[in-house]
Amino acid sequence: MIGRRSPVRSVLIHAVLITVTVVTLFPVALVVRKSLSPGNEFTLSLNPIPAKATTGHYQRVLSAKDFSGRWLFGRQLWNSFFVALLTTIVGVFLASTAAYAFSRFRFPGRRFGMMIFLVVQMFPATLIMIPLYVILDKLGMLDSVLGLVLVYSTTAIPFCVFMLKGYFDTIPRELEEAAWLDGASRFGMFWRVVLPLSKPALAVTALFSFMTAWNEYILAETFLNNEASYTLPVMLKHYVGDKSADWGAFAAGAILVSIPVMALFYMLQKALVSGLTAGGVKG
Amino acid sequence: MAKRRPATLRGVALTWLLGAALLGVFTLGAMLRQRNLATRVANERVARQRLAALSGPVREALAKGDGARVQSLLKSAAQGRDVSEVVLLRSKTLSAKVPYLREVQLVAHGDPTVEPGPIRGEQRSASLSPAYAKQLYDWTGRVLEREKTDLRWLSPPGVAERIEVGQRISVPRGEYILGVRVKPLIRPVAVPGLLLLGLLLLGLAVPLANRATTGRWQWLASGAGVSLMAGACGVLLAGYDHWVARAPETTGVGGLLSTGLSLGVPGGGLGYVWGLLALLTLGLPVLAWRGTGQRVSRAFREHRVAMAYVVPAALGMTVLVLVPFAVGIVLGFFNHCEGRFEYVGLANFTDILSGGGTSVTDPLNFWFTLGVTLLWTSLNVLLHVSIGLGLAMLLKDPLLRGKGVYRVLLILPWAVPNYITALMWKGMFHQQFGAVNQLLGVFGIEKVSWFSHFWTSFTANVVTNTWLGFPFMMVVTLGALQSIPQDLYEAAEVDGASKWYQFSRITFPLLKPALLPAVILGAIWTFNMFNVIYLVSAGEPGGSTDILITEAYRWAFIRHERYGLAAAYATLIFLILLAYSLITNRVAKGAEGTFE
Repeated sequence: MIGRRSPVRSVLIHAVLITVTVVTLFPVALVVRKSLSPGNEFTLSLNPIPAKATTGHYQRVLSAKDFSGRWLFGRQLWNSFFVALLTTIVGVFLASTAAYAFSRFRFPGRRFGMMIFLVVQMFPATLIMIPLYVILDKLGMLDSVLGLVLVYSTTAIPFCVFMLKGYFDTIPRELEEAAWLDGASRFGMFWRVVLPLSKPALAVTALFSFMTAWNEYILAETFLNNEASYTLPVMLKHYVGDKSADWGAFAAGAILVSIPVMALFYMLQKALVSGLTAGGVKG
Repeated sequence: MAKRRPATLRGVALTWLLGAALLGVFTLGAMLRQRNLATRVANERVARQRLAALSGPVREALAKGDGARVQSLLKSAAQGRDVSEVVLLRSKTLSAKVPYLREVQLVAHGDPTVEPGPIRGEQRSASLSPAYAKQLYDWTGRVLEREKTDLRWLSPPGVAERIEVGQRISVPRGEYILGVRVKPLIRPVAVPGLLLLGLLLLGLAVPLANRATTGRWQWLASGAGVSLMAGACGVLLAGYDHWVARAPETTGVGGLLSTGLSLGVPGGGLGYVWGLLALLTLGLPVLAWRGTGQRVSRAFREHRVAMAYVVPAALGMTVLVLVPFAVGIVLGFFNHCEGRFEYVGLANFTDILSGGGTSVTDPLNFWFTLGVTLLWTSLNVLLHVSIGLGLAMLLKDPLLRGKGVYRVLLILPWAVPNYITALMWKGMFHQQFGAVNQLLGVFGIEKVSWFSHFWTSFTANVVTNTWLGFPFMMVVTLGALQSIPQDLYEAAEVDGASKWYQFSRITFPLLKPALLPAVILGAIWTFNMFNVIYLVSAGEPGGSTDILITEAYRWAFIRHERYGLAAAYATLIFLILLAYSLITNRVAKGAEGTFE
């Protein structure tokens, strides 16, 4: 029987799991400790509780100003938020209709379209970054938050299409047929039946695109030149340059920036796993 | 014919709508970003005036070695209404072999709160606030490395007299450069806006002409209309610089609005890309609704409801993905030098594939990088899967206490944004202060300089990536394990099968369908794991730990803006990934699953 198990074995399993967990959590504990302890070096300590706690790093990060006195953290927070929000809106708005069509209609070019979306979803935005950079440079849209939204949308749209299509597929068509009999139009069926039923999926998809945009670093680093137009990840990276490194500020900033998205992640990770592996599990 | 009329009207409406949307987007873009060409031209003019006024006295003071006078000159210039910053910098090339490796020194600054002092690399004098020095360093670094700049030179004499828009700044060793940063000016340009209106009217004329004609005349009318639009686009693009240069300078809301209306359309080099884009968006609906290809138009008519749903996303994808993608492929056939693109045929590709004169053991060689990338990908995936699988096997036990807690704690690395993970581990691998070396010290191992040898540097990358990657595999495996019916194991137990036999004959075969897509996905993620490589080892030592994608990035943004070569690199990466997807063939199969 499966239940038959010696206590030694049980202790062994726990020992292995506890070791792995400690190793896993250790770097994060170090960052938390650093954010609260004075000094700029990132030093080792086996004790994750700081000896002398200080909120100095947090204050420094939150109150950073540039030379013309602009409140940098506020601006960067706003930039991050604005980019992520706009990307989400563009992604979900464009994707919901397309996902519905892919889910409900049979039309020429459907397979091809799905294929394109799938391929694009797999390839990193870094690949089309070079042409995008050249194009945005020519358009004078470098160093602009709007340009960054365009760039992020390239990954957000296919992702949203796939997440939403997967969900639309699970909504029984009978509901739409019933609405049809009640005299609803095609759009009415979509707008009044399918969309309200997909609220949870829409929320999950939106939050994921938001998270992805919020966490993106290298495109923002490349496309933005000006400290006041940076997003938060770029700001964090700049605390720890090649020659000088302010690990205290980095740690405090990292915690401020990642706590909300980590909370979101924990709320949503089940949906993400099923979304990501849906194609394979079904096929 | 009567049946077609509404379609024509829809075509007109759609053409208009698309044109208006295009106009809206770029009006908005230009309004939000004043950094368009017009602004640059205006800034250029002001900067030139300021420099002309400044350069004589500053040069004189420098010759006399009068630092205080230089400083006061800069200060007074920086107080001007339209100047936001004046700096005097000296640059020196650190290595003759690597010309882009430069050191910048701030000699004097116009901001009264900033004491002059050297900025060497990121070393700063104590009088500069760290954040400010960093910004200044970034700014000057970018100015020197890239061409989008309002910084102009003072010396050597003779060079400063003529400045082109988009001219690349390369500072001769030991020379001074004087930087003037001008507050953005807005200037109105009405003509291109009007031209665009004309373009929209043409868009209206095409379907109207179509309506009036029949048979093959329709084709002719369509063709004529489209080429008219193309021509108008061309005129618009070609003339843009000219109009911008002639427009008077103004500021304020009116200026902003008319700058917006001028669309910020680029002239010069990539104008044709723009023309193509405009042509596509304006011409496609016309082509779709009229004559061209009975099949297409019939498909659109029969499936117009479906198409209506797909078109917004398709359009978005065309503009955001397919056009840049096409531009990227085209760019691969060009060489970029000093702001100009020159057609070089297949030279970039042959250069990359032949290694460009480097041996296979050279980090700059494509095959070397490819080898590193493949090693990186396979090693990581192997580690992810084995650790993830191992943990999942431990956690699957239904009688295990606290497994929820373990699960929540163990997926933490996945929740941390990966650039933060990378930076955190970079800090932990620091030679002097890093946690890893100190931990090794506990066991009496000497401090390792992680990023000065290939294998240690590579190990650091792999450790980081393993830390952030195993939770995904663990979660996927756990999910799949739960779907394996328990009675299979019970039956095996009854038959006296060993644990290993159970694993290899029951667990593993049943895990495969769920694990395989995850492995394929994980391999792609790792193959493209830009942040870890770029932030942890940064390719050190000497670019040897770079993978393909960071190498492409370096060619574009760090080594002399070799956009063409980088684009060719990206194309090759794309081909590799495509081949990978076709070989695994799961893409097609997995997709088929979702197609149903």
